[in-house]
Amino acid sequence: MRRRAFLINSSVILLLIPLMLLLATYEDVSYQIIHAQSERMQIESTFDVVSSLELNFQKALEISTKRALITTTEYVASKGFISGEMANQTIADLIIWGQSPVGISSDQSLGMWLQNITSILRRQGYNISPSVNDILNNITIRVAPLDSFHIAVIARIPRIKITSASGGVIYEGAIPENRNVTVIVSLEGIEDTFIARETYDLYHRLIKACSYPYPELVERPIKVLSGTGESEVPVVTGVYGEDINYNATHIWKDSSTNTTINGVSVSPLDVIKDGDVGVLVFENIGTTGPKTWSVSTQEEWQENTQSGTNYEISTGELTLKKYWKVLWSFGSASVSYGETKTIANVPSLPTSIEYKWTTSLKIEKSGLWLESPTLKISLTKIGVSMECKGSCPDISKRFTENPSSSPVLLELSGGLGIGSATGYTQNNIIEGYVYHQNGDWTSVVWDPKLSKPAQIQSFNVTTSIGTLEEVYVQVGVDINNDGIIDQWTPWLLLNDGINVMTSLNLPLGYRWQVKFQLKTLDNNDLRHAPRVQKYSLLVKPLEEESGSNSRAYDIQPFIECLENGYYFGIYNAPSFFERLEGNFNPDRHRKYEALANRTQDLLGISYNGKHYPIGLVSFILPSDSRIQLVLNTAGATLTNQTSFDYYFLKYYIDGSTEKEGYKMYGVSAGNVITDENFYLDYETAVALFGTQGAQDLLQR
Amino acid sequence: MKIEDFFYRVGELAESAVVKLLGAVKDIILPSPKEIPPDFKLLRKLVKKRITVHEFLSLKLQVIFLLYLILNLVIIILTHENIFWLMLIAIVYFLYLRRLLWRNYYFFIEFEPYRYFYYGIFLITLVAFGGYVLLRTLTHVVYYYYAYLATIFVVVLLFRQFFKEKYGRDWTYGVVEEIKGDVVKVFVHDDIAANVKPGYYWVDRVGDLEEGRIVKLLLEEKMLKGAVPKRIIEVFLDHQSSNISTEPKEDKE
Repeated sequence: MRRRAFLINSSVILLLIPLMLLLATYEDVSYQIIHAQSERMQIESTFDVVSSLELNFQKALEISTKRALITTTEYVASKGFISGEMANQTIADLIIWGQSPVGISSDQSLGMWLQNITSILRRQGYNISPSVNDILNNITIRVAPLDSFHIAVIARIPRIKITSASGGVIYEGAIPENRNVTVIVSLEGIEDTFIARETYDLYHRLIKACSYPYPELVERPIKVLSGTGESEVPVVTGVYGEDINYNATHIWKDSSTNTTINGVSVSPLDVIKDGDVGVLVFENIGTTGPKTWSVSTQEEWQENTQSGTNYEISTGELTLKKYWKVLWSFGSASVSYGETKTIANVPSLPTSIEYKWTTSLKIEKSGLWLESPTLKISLTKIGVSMECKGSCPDISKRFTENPSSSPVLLELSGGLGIGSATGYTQNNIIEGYVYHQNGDWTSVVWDPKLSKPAQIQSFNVTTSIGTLEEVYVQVGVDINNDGIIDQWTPWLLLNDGINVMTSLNLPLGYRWQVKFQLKTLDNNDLRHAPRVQKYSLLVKPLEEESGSNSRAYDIQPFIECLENGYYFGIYNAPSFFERLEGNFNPDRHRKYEALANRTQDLLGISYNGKHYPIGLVSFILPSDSRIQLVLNTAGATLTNQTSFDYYFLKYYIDGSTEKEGYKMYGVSAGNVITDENFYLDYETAVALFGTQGAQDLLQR
Repeated sequence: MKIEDFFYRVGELAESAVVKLLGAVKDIILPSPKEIPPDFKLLRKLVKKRITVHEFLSLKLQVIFLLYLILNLVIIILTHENIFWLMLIAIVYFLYLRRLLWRNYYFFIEFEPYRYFYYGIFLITLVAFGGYVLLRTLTHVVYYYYAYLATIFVVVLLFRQFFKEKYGRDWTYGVVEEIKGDVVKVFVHDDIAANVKPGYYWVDRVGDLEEGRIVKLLLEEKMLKGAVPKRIIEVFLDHQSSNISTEPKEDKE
């Protein structure tokens, strides 16, 4: 069977029409896909233009800032400090316009960048409006110190319009779109032109941070270990590993001096390195051993208050501790002169009063005597008197009436000869005692004004107790320093004679009070009454560590920064901008500080919730040969002016801003000397080393 | 040769050229049926078999239509939205098609369906490509193109349906070539109305059959393949037919 297969059937021919059209469409559709892709590429390239503009802006800002900084420092070094405006304003002008009203011009600025980028974009088919000058006028910029070693520049172009060659608006808005461009430039490695300017360009120093850049905030450039120790001298300087030795628990100087620090909480091995300069500081040299307060009750408790009876008894003025001198009248038989002592407030009616020489009253004669003098003692108002020659006995008097104020007359009479007689008690103490029969007696609250609570060491009571007589005692203590006695011992029965009570079982306290109870069981016995002759309470504050408080310093980190002229960032020092201005003015400093604080807040930078400082300080070593040259050129002679670079140069070169400094142990005082002319003011020392460190390390 | 003769020659040539040109133009614009069949010089080289004039014509119509389609595609691709070339080629094709049809009016077994079909698909093609060019100037959204394509497809199907309604038949004529037992080999001409391809088909034998007799054949429609003769439904005893003379002698190689 043959078919004429060369002919196509009519349906197929018909279907060829849409098929051909499909082919045409396919070509067209693929063309459209390519077209769409190229359109997407166009959009992407538009996006690229904006984002690259942003990136470019950031870079241009960074370059312009660095350039402006360098140009400014060059200007200051060669022409003079920036005056008339704030240095940050000068730098801002340089960044934007490339020139400042002060007369500085920079060869890199945002202005130049904008010119370039505009022409480049124009070649690529993009137009930027408004004009370059208008954009520059509208740029918002803030040049601020960020901290001591960085400045921050925050800028934004608020409005820019990019159009394509065909006139379509590609972008309209701020650059960057919804944030600021922030550039942070480190000041490290930039010359401190303040120093160059002040030293007639003879001395140069680059700003470089010490390894402990923020001593007030982060870590101090000294290491300190505290413990207790013994030493013959308050401060010892030396080099660790050479003349100061250390191990895990002790630090000691070589055998020639008795210097040790014990009980350091941190192992010195972890902190100290061989070759580091060390300073050992000891408190209260010479007062070794615990401090104790011994209490003579009769001296301290002057105003006793009788409780429960009618009597108020005071013994205070009766105590004659002083050297008692009797004047001698030569030749007269009966007239004598003597020193009188008045009992100020003799109580209304004591049952009895008794005076007793601690040992005996003696008359010492010198010269020629025909007759021995007589000592006469009288309590005039009470009518008590006694006479004695040489050694006198105790006297006592039982009161029957209110004695009121009763002067005590001590009189020496009799005697004939040429010379003098001096009367004194052997121990220079006359003690007075009160006692009464069958009554209670309460002392006042004794307040030895302690800073920390004390423990009763001993309580001694001397009594005279006859048969059928009893004496009890009770001691109270103020535990919580509120003035009120909180706890009492039970009534304790005393023996006749000396009672030494060691275990009163009372807690530590700040104030004490004593109560006595005297009982005569036989009321008809008037020959003797129970007596408390003497009591004394001895308290001792808490046991302190043996040895004096002492600290071992390793000041090597500070010395290294000092020798290299590295900078510290502290609050009270001129910032970089102030150094460009050549003037450290408190008002200006506060302005810069406020600006820095705002910038830190904006960028979310802080250290433990505190703002970083902006001040910069390095130290001048006056013995450095180049500094000597500078000082000789200025005709300056060294004094104790602080070596703080700003104050040092201002004082010696400009003759202004005097600031007293002190030698520092381990640097300019002691055995190890870096520069004997180095002086450091107390304020800066506190900033660098803290209060304790400044007190210990400065030789004041 | 005299100079006069030369001028005469030139004059005659010019005259005859003008006459020929006018004749050609007239032939193109107002073609008239010719008694002499065309010789199909080019097609004969392509088709080595001996086939009837009718089939040659059918083939030529198809070939030039395909050329026309391909040209359209090329124009679309190369010139993009240039409607001028599209129109130009359309006019040339239409004039040629019209001339081809009219000139060979007598050699078509059935003239009307062919004319209708080729004019129809020409019109559809013209509208499809022209509309496409127009569409491209209007939109670049791909989905419109798909929609347009679908529309043209629908138009084509509608045309096919319409053509079937108007000229379509489920039968055609064939000539008995060979009788072998129960089956008969018949030759069928190209018949656009019946959508049957020319060639030999085997069908079941019926009574009163002789070689050379014309039979009426029932067709069975097959998608894309066209129709295929199935059965003889009528035998014409009078085998005188206008088609006989055009039937080629049996092809024996």
